[in-house]
Amino acid sequence: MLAEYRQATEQHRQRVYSFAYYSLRAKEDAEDVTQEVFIKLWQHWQKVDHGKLGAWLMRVARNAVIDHVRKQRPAQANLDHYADVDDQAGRSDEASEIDRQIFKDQLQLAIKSLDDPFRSIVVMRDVQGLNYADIQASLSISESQVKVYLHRGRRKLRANTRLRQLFDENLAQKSRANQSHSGSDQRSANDKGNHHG
Amino acid sequence: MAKTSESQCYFVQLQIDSYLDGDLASAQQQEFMSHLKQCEACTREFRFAQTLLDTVMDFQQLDCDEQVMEPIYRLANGGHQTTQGVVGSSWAAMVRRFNSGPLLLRYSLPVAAVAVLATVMVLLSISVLTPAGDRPAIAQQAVVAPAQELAQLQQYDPAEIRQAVEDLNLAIEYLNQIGRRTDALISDRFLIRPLQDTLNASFERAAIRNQERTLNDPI
Repeated sequence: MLAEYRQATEQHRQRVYSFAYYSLRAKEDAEDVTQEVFIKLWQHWQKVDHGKLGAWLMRVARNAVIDHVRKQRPAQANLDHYADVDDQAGRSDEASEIDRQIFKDQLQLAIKSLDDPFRSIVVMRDVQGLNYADIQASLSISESQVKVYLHRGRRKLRANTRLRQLFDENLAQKSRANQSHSGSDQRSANDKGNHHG
Repeated sequence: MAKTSESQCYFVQLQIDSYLDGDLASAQQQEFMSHLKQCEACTREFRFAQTLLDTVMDFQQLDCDEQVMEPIYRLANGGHQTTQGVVGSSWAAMVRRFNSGPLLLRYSLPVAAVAVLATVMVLLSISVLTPAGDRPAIAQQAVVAPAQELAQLQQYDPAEIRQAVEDLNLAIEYLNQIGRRTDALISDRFLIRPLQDTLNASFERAAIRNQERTLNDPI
């Protein structure tokens, strides 16, 4: 039984931790949730339907995340300063990379700020790539409901003004770069023409 | 780009997610794309949605440190969880072993323990209060009792014991009710009403005496 339990934790640990991390955007909280989930798995090992273990774990993880969010709402400002240790370590010095990183960070914040079930469904579907059947089983709602919540969640993300602003700035920057690039191409073409003439 | 109606844009923007998920039929997809070719606003919206989705899908799958799982494995190996964390404990293991034992053992052991304890208490009190040579017969019986009681208790199954306890509770409740009713009846018949009658009678007598005195008063 212990060997099976260990195997199950190895198999599902990453999924549970990723879900918790992208829902809470805090390393320590995600670790707490992961612990809670696997302690519950141990406590309910005999009762859990092992054919649907993934869905069961995601349901428990989602409930644990909701509990954490409820507990931390008053102190939300403190959440993010230790969240990005891993992400920041991999940052490149290039401006475009930084822009991408800023956009990514902002997107993570926007996902975290979504209410449930939008947050859970966006994380499960778009971040973790779970199929609709798994999400449906995890949340005990119909597939059409999953789709409706997913689309609403994405629309809520698109309504985030900071994300929109970053996207627009990036777009403007790219178009300026394209213009200057095409301008320099034009100049070099003219230079070539003059030279030949 | 040609101008398109607002409602058309609204409808197309609602379809962005379905398009990204590949849920649109081919005719719908063509319609969707032909609208995007004409409409700058919808193209921008579509590109924003696509960028968001690409970025989200680009989030790496994370894994926690091995040390996060360590306390859980300790628990699984027979530890005991506390509110502060997961700490090993032999008490938890003992409780678990006890809980996993046969049902009869789980019920009969506490009952037997209580019976033994009660008997020991009775024996002790008797031996303290009475001289050694003058011990009553009941105390001598009690010395033999624990073993017999244990033997008797183990003959009952837990369902019978539960039923007996329920019956006992019912009987106690019934006796309490009878007691309350009797109490009310007794106090009404023998205490309150006679007292009231006596008081009334004495008041009446006093009133009559006063009346007679007033009538006989020459002033």
